[in-house]
Amino acid sequence: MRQRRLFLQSVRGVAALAMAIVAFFPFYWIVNTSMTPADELYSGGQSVWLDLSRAQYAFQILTTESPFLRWLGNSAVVATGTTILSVLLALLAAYALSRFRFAGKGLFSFIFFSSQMLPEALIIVPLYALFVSLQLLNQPAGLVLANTAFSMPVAVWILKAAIDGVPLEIEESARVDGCGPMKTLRYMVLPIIAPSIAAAAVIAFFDSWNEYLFATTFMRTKSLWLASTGLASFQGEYQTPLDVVFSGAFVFSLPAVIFFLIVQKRIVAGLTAGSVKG
Amino acid sequence: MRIKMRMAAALLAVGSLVAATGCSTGAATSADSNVTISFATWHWLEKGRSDRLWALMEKFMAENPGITVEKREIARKDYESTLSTEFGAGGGPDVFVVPDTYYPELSDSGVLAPLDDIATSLSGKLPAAAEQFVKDGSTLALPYELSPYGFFWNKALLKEAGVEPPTTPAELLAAAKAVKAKTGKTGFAVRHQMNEEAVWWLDFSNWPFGFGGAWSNGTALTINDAKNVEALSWFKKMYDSGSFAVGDDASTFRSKFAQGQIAMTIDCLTCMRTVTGSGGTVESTDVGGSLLPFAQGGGFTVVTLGLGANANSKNLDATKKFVAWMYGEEAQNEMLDINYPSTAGLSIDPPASMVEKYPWSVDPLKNLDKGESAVIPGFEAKTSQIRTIVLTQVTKVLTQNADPAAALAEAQKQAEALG
Amino acid sequence: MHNEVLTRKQPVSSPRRRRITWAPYLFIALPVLYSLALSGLPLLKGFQLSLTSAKLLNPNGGRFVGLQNYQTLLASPQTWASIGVTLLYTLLVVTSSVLLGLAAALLINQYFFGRVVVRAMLTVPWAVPTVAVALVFTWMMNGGSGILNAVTETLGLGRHEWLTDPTWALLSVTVATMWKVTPFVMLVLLAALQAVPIELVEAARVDGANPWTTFRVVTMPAILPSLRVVVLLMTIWSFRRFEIIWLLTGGGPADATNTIVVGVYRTAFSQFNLGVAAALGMLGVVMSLAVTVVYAVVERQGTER
Repeated sequence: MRQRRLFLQSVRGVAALAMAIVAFFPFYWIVNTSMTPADELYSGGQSVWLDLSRAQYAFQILTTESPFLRWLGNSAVVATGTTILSVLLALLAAYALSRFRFAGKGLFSFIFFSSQMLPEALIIVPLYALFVSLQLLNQPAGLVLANTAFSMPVAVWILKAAIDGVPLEIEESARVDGCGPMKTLRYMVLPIIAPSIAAAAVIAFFDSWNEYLFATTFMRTKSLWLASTGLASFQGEYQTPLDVVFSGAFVFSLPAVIFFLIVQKRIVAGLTAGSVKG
Repeated sequence: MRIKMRMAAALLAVGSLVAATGCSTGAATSADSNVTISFATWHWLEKGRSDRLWALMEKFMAENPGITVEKREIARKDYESTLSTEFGAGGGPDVFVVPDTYYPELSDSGVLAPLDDIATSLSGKLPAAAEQFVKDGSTLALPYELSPYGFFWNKALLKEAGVEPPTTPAELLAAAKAVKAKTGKTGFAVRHQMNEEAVWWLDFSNWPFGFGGAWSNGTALTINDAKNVEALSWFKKMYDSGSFAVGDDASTFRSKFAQGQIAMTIDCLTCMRTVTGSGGTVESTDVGGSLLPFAQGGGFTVVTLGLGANANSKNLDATKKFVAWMYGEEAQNEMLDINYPSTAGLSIDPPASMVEKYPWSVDPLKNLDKGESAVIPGFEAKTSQIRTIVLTQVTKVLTQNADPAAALAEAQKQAEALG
Repeated sequence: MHNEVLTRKQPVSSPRRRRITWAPYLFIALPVLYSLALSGLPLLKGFQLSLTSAKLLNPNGGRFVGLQNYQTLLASPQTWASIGVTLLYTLLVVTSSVLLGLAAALLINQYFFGRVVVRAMLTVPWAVPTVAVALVFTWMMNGGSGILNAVTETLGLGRHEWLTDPTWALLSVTVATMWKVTPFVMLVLLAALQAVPIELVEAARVDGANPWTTFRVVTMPAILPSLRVVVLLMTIWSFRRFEIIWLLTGGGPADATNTIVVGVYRTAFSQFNLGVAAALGMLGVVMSLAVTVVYAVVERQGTER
């Protein structure tokens, strides 16, 4: 019995490992390509194995003239702003949708959800015109506003599920103590759903970190570009050798990957929180 | 209205948040007496060229203390879409480079400020290509750069393969195959993919032009002209030769060319200057160049870039002053140096030192009068739609073995249906 | 509606009446106004544009043309082809990512040696930015020097032009998309799996149920709500996914990957036909709406049962 279980476990392990290797390979290939000299890449001589003596080349983009570090910083600012705004707005919406019955609830849910259906290419022109009149072009704040429109609804979905899972009694006791809804939300509900807030925050952060179309359209000055625009600007341009471009891809991915590996357990916990309560 | 108010409040809140973190950087503010004009081109992103162009701007600013020039850097592939969005919203840069393929759209929408005064003062010095930027007797842009295409080869690779530089399509095919057989390297590379649609159109037009064909006769489309069909058939033969850089976009095959991995290519002259100066193993003197190896006396694509001023500019006077300055003798000589082997805006003979440095540029430049625009005569405003139709059919020939004649006939039919 | 899903088991009619009726509106006003301003208004504007002959360079200068843009589009075989491509792409992405994501979640949910590492590796793709994804897949799928051809050649499957051959392009784009989105599916389903009471699974096992029966009778019903949401989200996101397709193929070769959204972008930004582009975009929105309605109906039936 024990042996059988061990056997099953190792089969499972092997299957999972195979999947993991396939899933991980493209990222590995980014690293590998960034460390291979350009002439080897173009002559088809790229080795499958890493030449660790060239490890520093993975970061060579930072030694070029392009302000890549600055672009990364811009991405971080916009992603952070998007995360904060999305979560704040989503908390309000999620609390209302979870805790109250009121006329128009279904309509409001639909309004949030419907933003997930809009192709960016359709709304980018009207949005652009709006931003011109509000003088939000070339402003990180403008990009934060645009990104939030898309990432907030997902956060609402996660947070509403989480608040649904918080026992009503906790709030009742707060109310008896004379707390208003806002205070109840802040001191009673928030601490309990912290993991879900983290999950929503991470998802919003990645959405924004990833985003390309809005960033490219709304940020005009090169020093204000986000890393996605900067990286894409190398594509189709022929003066930056491929290994340097891939170094850019690597440096752009790395913070996200590391950050994600650190928080991913919390994300699952946060997503679970909503469904735990049966 | 209330929504807008709310929005404004929300925006303010977020705006101040971001400002507090010190990240808000609006348009450069200028002193009261000073005006700032923005100059948009993708050349700002090209190493080498951008530094020298900026040095020219500094010279202008030194001579005109009241005016500050600001770079607007836009990647080539996003150039038209970015500018269109901005113009559509009533904004946009003050002065900008106008690709000839984009000009019809711009001139139709009234974005371009007339530059008649400057054009008049330059009369006699402007090249023939200036004509295409004149609408209803009004000059809407001035030639900024004329960029011709040529045929280039890696001398060492052709020698190793034991072939002479080809001058006919059959020789081109044979040379490509010989390169593959003898050296293992790739024989030939040109653009061939839809994800580079706008620029592929410029590249691809070389084939019909080179075979003596054309996209229209000025009044009717001639997409399925026999010469165009012949051109496409040869393109297909090259694509199938086993010695064609299938799947490589321009940045990839140019890099490969610079690394000595590709023997022959058709590319713009300025591009070849950059490729051979990019630090690869292939240098300018290792490259040979000629007119396209197609029909005798055939043409090639010339991309004309113009310089235009934004009619909605808040500083139109300063902008015009800047444009006028750019066509002064000093600026033009410097531009010629920066652009070579493209020409500058005015017709000036290139200095001998340049010709010596880039020997492969001689033939195409001598025959500049054979160059043709990829904008379809008589169908200027429809060129971008026709482009999509034609290139989609070309892709079918390349990848699905559609018959070239049938494919171009289909393209002709669809393009005519545009009305 | 979709928000309800994870909590279906909670009594729907729990007494939640409050004396202060303005409170929910106070909470929800700002988020709703925000959504209306940044998605609603642009959508309305998009609809208005779709009824005009507006050009990108002059969005407000278009003539009112009524439904002409829609008529032109619906009469064009290209539109129907791109609807077909969109549906096929969506079907392929949703099926493959959900099946793979479910399989991965089931694997990860059980203990085995090295699980932490495997889980980390499986989730990495989600963190890689789309532009980088497009770069690396373009390189791996390069016909000449790409590693994919080296692999398929070794396996005896031959070399292919993955991104430039219309036969393969859509599949290649699907694979890249699947690679990127599957971790999201996996995480959501993993969260749902971790909420399945372990006692139920143990009980089924003690009763002698085989793993498949356990999965079918115990696990599946428990994660079904999450699964439904994830399928809906994946579908709608696939309908409107733009960046990865645009960066990999630009809608080519020969329109093989020309989804509606790519068509919208091409029409607006490389042909400058804003009016037609807006109409095409509205068609896409209608498709998403249809899916959502179907979902809502299915879900309601599921709940009533």
